[in-house]
Amino acid sequence: MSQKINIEELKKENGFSVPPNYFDSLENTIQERIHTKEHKSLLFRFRYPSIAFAASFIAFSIWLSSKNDFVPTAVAPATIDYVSYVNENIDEFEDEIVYETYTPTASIEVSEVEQKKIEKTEALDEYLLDEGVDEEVLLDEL
Amino acid sequence: MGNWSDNEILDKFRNSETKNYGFNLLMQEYKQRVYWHVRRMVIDHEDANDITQDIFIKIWNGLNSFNEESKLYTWIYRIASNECITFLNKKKRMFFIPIVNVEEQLSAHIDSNENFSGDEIQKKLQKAILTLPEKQRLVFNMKYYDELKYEEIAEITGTSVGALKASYHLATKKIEEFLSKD
Repeated sequence: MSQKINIEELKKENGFSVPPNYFDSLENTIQERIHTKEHKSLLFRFRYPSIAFAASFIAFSIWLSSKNDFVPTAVAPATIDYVSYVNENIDEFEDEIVYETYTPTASIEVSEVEQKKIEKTEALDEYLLDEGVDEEVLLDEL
Repeated sequence: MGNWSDNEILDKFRNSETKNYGFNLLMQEYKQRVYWHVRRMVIDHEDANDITQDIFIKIWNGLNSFNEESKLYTWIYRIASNECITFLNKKKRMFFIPIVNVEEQLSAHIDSNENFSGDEIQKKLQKAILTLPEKQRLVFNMKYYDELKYEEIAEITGTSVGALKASYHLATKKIEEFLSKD
């Protein structure tokens, strides 16, 4: 014979278990995820304009240095400024670009290829923004 | 409830200098309630953990636009409930499994020792709750375990108090019948 059970008379514990100290570390895990996402989002916004700026500066400096009437003292401060700009914003640059910047054999051909890549990326960015593609969805795909 | 009121948490969050602190207070205040609300719906700890994290990320992204027409915790419960339903629907669609199999799968999780440390009657109660349709399960859990008022559940689910009372009454009957079976 089965016995009638009244659930209001039972202990209101659900019986599930969690790993030890789970709740102690939950906040940190969530904060880390939030800040990683925001960092990625910032990079997405600022990386490409910075690369474009840096690449055009390299191209301009190399073009200037190839000129016969080039005055070395005039370009020196600009080159130094560029190096310090890269140093200050090193996180915003892709490794490839940083290596090229610090390689003495960096040639104008390399910069042109890079420039084309950037133009293509910018065109893609514009297309994606025009199409209203969700930035977060895109970042998750990366 | 802890030492901080929802208004104090919101004020801290809306100030850019104390935003992180405010959010930490919010997590301290709600992490357990959100987690357990989710856990009772999805049963598995790993799933509950992922969903809880996603919920708090949604809260972080959306809290600035929270208009205070409802109470903070009902807004949080609403997000959490939607995430649970979305997860369960996705699970069904992903594996093309009919609803009964998802329930069986969840029920099997209850049998696993790493997921469940309660006694036999608690185990049977959880399995009984799993026989309810998802939305009725949500309502039952909020009323039975979280002891929310019908008015609060109505705000969370957008259902009338009368319908909620009827739903809870029927759920209780079904569960008690299930528990009374051998």
